[in-house]
Amino acid sequence: MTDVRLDHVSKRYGSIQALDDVSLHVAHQEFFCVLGPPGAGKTTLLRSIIGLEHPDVGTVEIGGHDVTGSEPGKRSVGIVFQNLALYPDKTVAKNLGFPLRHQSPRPSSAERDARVREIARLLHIEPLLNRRPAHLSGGERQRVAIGRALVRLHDVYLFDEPLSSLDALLRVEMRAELKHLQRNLEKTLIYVTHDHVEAMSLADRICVLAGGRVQQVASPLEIYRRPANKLVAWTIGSPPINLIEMNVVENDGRLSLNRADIRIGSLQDGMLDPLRALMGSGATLGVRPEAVMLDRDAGGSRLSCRVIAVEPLGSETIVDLELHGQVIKALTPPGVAYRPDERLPVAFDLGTAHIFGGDGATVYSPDGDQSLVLHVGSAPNE
Amino acid sequence: MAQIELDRIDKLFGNVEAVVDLSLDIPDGSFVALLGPSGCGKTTTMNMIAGLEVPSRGEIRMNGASVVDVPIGKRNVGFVFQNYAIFTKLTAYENIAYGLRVRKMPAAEVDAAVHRVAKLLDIEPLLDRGARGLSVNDLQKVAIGRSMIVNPDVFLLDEPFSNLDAGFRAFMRTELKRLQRELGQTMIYVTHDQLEAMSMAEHIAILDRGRLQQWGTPEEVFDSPSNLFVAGFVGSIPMNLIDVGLEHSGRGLVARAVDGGHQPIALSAERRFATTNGGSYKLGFRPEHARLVSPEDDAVDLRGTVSLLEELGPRSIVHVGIDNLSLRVVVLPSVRPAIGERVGVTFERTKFHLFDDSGLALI
Repeated sequence: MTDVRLDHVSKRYGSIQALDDVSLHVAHQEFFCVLGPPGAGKTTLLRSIIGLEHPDVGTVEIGGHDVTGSEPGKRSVGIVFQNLALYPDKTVAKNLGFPLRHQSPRPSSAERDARVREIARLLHIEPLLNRRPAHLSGGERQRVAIGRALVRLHDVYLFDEPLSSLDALLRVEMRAELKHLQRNLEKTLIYVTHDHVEAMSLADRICVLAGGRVQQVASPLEIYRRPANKLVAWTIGSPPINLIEMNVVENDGRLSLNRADIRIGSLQDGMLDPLRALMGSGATLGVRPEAVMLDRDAGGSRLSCRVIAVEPLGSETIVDLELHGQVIKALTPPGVAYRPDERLPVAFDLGTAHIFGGDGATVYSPDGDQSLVLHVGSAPNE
Repeated sequence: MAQIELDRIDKLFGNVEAVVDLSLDIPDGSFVALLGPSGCGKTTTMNMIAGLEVPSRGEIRMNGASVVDVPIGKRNVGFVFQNYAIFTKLTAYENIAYGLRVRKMPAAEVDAAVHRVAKLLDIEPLLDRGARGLSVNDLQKVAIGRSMIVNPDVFLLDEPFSNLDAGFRAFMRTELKRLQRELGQTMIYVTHDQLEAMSMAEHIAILDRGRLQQWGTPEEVFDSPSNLFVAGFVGSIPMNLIDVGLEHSGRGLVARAVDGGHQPIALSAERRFATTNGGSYKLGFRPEHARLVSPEDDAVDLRGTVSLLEELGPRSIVHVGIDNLSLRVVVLPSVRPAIGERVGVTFERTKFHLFDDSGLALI
């Protein structure tokens, strides 16, 4: 059993609170991703688990043992860094075997060969064992670098943005390979990234970190469908969720969300109680770009928006719209020719919308993944 | 305003060919992306347009006149780089005004210009702030403003957004595109990120190892890639590529996958391709144009087992293993096949690609 547990860990560098009361439990053989923007505290978290940093407060446990004060060498943790330089004059086999030569007790050469072969097989680089790094592609080099970190047997492996130096498509390829790898490796993996697609694709569970604090820990789909707060909602999804500040207004006992000349009257039943609590303080409506309906799909909506720009991505098109000085992004199927400056009817699919309170916390998320199109009226005196 | 023409440009560094026989015609007022992996020659090309590098052979013309011998200071080009060189001790206002002040423009005119640019970039409230106190996102806007204010004929941007976080990058793309349209300046944008190129540019020049692979609109390079390189580079999920043999039969053109048990895949009854029976080709179709079906379905083209499921939120990617081959299929998040499940794969017949063994597209 090798689980990793952080209990109320804080770490401060001068005036910067890098980690602020972080508690986490990474389960045995779990693929656990830590996701956050630059400066979120991801690297400090990683270094605290490795033992390169010692928390000011709190404890770190690996496999049930308190390792808070122990040095890196005493922890059975392997690390894959972002830039893992290979020895250019050594073959792939020698590069892979190198860490084993410096292990004590030093394994016999037969043991080393066996382990190198095993790792090479796992990473599909067996045919490359006699090549030198100069004769490898970028993806092959990255696989060798990952293999070199995995060649020593550890209980836990930490990955620090291992794919971020690769080209976009190679990253997509490698992320599938890493997922296969983890299944065959049967180890606990903690993977740090700022790329939400990578985290969604790889993780059993994701921890969203921001400002040194844990924002949410949940499965990828749970985080996507029920983000704990505005920040988490913004971090996951591409293009990002549309966040629209609204006022909560009650007229003749009927609640609506208002802003400038938008008025949303037909609200989901589940929204009513949370919204009533936000009366007067304002609410943020979160609508994902795929839930912004345009043109014919917007039915009889009376809200119309000007097209600012059209971004054809091939498999889909992002339409950028102006909503009272704010940019709203809609994700639409390809092939429809929208033009800048034309006005389109717009509706929000409230069946997948979220509502955030003044402090950013989620006060409403839809249950399940049903989707129901309701329309936004644009007449204030409706 | 500038129309720019690159006419058979070569650029050699020692005996390294950075750019080879490159010809481009960039229309006045257009937004053009130079796209390719690192080392493809895109930055060298930009530097030659700017006047930072001189071509080894060939001509560069702006509005019809050769500029090869015109020094950088006389070309009236504006730059924005990945690492915005902002004066940290100056305010946002002073940074933006800098280019006009060194040209000794009267203060009132400078002031009007700074406010006009700041309004366009939505940074008016930040003008009096010290650059040191600005976020990375706002700093990059200041850098764009500073370059924009001198009203260059050509705007050159080299991966200006790569330091920004993903959410803001999505909004900066919109802003830049809007800005370019409002200003009407010719804009040349260098990037390795196909999504940036696709989302902003009217025309994309795709480069690989110094050579132009394709010039086209975003739709053209996505829907009709000219070769295997472009097919593999454009699109956020890699195109499925299968080694096949082709034969003309009574049913039209039929492909047989080398992996996957040689089952015949009827491609087209009508369309004609200059192919030879039995030659080696690659059949390509995008994961977005593929569909999962029951392995017993009549429509099935290839059968395999599910090896991986990537649930990305609005859509999922199913990986299907067929012998040594792995195919990707984009599905709705409600589709959740089990790992190891037997499935069939089919694809849209109007949206496949064929490449010959040199990588050239046949369609």
